[in-house]
Amino acid sequence: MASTDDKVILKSSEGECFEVDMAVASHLQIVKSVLEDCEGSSDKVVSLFIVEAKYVAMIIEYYKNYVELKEKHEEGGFEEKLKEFEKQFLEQIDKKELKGLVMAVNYLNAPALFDVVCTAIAKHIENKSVEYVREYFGIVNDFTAEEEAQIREEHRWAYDGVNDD
Amino acid sequence: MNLRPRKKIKFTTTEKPLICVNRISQLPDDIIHRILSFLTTEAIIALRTLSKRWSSIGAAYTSFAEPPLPKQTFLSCRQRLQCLQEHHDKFMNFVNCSLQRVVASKIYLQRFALTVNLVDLRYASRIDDCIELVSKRCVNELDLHIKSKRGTPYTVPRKIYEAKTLSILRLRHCKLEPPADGESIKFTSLKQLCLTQVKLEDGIVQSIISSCSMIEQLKLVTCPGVGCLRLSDLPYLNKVKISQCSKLPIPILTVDAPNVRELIYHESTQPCKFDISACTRLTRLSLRYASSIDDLYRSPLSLYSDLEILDLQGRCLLLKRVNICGHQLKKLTSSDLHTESIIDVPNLCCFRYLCYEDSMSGIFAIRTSGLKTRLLMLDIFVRKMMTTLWFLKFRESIEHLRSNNKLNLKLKLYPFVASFNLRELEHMSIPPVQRLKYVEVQLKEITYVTSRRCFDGLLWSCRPDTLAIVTRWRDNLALLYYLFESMKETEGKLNCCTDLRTSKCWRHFLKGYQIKISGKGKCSFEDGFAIMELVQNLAPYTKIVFQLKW
Repeated sequence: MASTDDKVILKSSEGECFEVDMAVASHLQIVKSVLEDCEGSSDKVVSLFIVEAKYVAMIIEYYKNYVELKEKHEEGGFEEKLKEFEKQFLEQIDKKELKGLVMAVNYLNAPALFDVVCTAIAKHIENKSVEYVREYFGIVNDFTAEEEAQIREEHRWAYDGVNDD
Repeated sequence: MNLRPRKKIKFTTTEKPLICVNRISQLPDDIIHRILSFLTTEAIIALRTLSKRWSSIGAAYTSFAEPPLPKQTFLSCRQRLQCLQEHHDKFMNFVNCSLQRVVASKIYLQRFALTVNLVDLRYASRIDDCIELVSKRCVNELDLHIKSKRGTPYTVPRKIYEAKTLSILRLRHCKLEPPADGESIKFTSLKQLCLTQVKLEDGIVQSIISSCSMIEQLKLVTCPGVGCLRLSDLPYLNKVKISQCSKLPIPILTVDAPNVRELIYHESTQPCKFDISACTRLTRLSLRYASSIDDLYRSPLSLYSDLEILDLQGRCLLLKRVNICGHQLKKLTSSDLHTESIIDVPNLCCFRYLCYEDSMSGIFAIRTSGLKTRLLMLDIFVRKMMTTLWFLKFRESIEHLRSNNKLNLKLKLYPFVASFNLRELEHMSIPPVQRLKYVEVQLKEITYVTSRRCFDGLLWSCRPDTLAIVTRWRDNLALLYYLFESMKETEGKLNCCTDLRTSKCWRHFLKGYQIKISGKGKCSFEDGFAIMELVQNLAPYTKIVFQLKW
């Protein structure tokens, strides 16, 4: 009994299903609130219409480890171990995918991972040229040349030490 | 996997999905906000040329810090002052200009921070203008760090009280005056108030607090003039830190807010009076005080059943019996306790103990029979002389704790004198504590002779499997040489401890050793000089680990 009760199925935008422990899924606020709304139903499937399977997999991996580490290091040292894992976790992710991941995490409302990914993005775009960041986020430059020159002029000291990537 | 036909659950939230196909490249504002909050001011400014949208969001995080004066050749005092004034002028012009533009573009200011070294109070009015501008705008977070060189602190203008939308206020190094007659404090949404080294007029904190019922965090550090404080009717208050804010007469702190989870109250210079009995949901409590009129004992510690971290320090603890108990308690810091005190904390994992007395009363107070944790970290800070009695008590106390636990021990030795006679210890035939897993010693400003004797004493009291030492090696090379050479000698060649009446020293029992240097792994050396040479080039506080086989 316990095995089915403690599981929940997350369905990605492509229709792929992921079976996840309730302890893991409960970190995703949106899943939690949907399940609370439908309490009593025997089978639990949550469709995440707009989240691609690869992001669902990443998010599940993160929280699986989060829950495991928390159990293992109940007596202390959890935060350091989590930091270590987060570093590994972020290394596996392609920088291009961070953007998609942050949107997915934002949608699922998972605060711990949201901050991790936002920090990673901030770290990534820090000290990068404006052109690079524009391309990275797909931002269209809507400044006229004069306007841009004016802003640059005002903050000349901020442009030192930029490396092109 | 169970694949019965299942009832589908769909989102019924009215929230529309944040990603639409044609806007895929655009991050929503709240994500941009979050990302920007992790960036430095310089990086944010650099990103403002990305696009109009990013520019306006970036401007919401406005923060200015006066850059240091560029280094110049020798200047006379007068020239230097002039330079400083010019520098300051330029900086303030820049701040005012930027701020004017932000205000003109009607951006919702998330955060405004200003760090200035005020050369002359004559310039104060320009900062006043800035603060006034910002207070009128809907600013969310305000951070002011205004240092003035000439004793008189900068006085924050009363206009600041008009900032209705303010949720975080941090002030450093200035002076806060009460609002003028007939005016009121309008901090209705204030959630965090942090004052550091702020000069306060009597009762001002009390009146700010009573005007903001939303407050969640209160932090007052070295703010003379807080006086008596009563925190009540604050349902959201969860963190309180008050440190060194005393001023005669005796300060009285009353916390009557049921949801406070963290309370830190340090008042180590003068007697104080506090009543925190209403905070029954505390998870972290830290009390350090010189002496108190009537204190804790009126509200016994068992009242706080959720407590996880407790820090209790003060000489006055020696005077009265304290009983510390709690199932949730994991970390405990304490100074010496009255000899009849009892610590009954079954889930304790980390115990830090500040040792001033020879009696080690803090450790003996721990009831070991109920202790459930498998591994106990013991941190002992030694701030007094190490006497023969100290070592005897030390040995006894680790024996006491070791009885049913694995024990990790960390000793921190700060400037002190070792006034004991090793011979005296060796004359006593008490066996050392065997199989202690890990002992780490941190040394600071200690002479060679003291440190050497202290290790001999330590190894007389216990036989650790691992002995780690952290110190500034440059100053302690001789000690390292001594330890290494002592370990190298094998039993047959030892020519010490020839007196048959005394027990033999630790060298006679050591069967083998291995040295590990953090960052380098296992190392072996031919003689003491080789290890000294290597250590000289290491970072100052590298950990050196000796694995000992007894």
